[in-house]
Amino acid sequence: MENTILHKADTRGDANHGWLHSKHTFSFANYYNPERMHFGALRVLNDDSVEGGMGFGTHPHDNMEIISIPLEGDLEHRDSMNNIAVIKNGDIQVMSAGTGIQHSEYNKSKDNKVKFLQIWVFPNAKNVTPRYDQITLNAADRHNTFQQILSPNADDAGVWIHQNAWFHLAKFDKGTSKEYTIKSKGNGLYIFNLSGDIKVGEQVLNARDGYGIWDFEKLTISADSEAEFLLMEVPMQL
Amino acid sequence: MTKKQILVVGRHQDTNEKVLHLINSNEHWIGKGSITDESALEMYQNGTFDMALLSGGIEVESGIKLRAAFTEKNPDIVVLQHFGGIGTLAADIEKAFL
Repeated sequence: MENTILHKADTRGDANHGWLHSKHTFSFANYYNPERMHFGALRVLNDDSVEGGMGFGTHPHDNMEIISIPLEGDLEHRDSMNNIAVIKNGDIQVMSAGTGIQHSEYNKSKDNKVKFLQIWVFPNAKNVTPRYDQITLNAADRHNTFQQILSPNADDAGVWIHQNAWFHLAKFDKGTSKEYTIKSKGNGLYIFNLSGDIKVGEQVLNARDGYGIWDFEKLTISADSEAEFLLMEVPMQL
Repeated sequence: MTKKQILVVGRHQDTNEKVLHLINSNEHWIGKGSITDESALEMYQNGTFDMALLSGGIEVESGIKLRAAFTEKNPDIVVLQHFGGIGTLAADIEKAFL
């Protein structure tokens, strides 16, 4: 279909630095593919695994919405706004880099890996005041449904960012099927399948496959096995 | 192959150093940096740059002024306003040179 893009898991950029093993859906660091620069406002989707006691030293960002979703283990965050926090599986962390922020992210454990998704979204406002937030999600709220974990609205479910974007997590039992309706006209949806096998319309997605679709209003997602996946609705026009 | 010359203008010295380190680590690029508009314009007038990279902290007005000055001397200069972080920088430079 002309309004879809499929990124099979094994076609992602692969960076193994010893302490960090990362799979890049879009061009990042030494991985460059001009056909994979972004999906609308979604610029970075990194599937990171960090060895015990290791991590990302202090480094700067500006004018980007940065979302981290831990999948396994504990990640210690420190930033130039004096935030010190640990995020773990079940949490979601957000930073609006705005005018500039420096931060580090380290594996809190000396022995166990930490695995997390690192996601960057282009903001809809430049040079905003930097901010940091994290919340703990209730995993039961995504069982056979779409759990909203991010939106543009501070008073809505999940964290919020400076962009007309909505993220949902879902954990479906085998055979579960549910319709997703786009929140905002002009947005596209990028589905990242964390585990199991799902179908988006007729498109089969296996673990760690990504699939983008735009110019639609509703689509049906069904699980061919027990499956967990992330939905990222973002504007397609920058 | 001639190295592409990149002028980095950003307000934060630490960030500029990281950006320049990344650029100069690439065998096809060579970078020089400035934190002020004045020294950036002087370097630009005295050099031959293929790209001007507007990095962190550049005010809107400065960005407009610098872009105009750069393109006035060389209409073919690639001016890249880069946001986000070091992670996406190399890919964005590659893409801008296409």
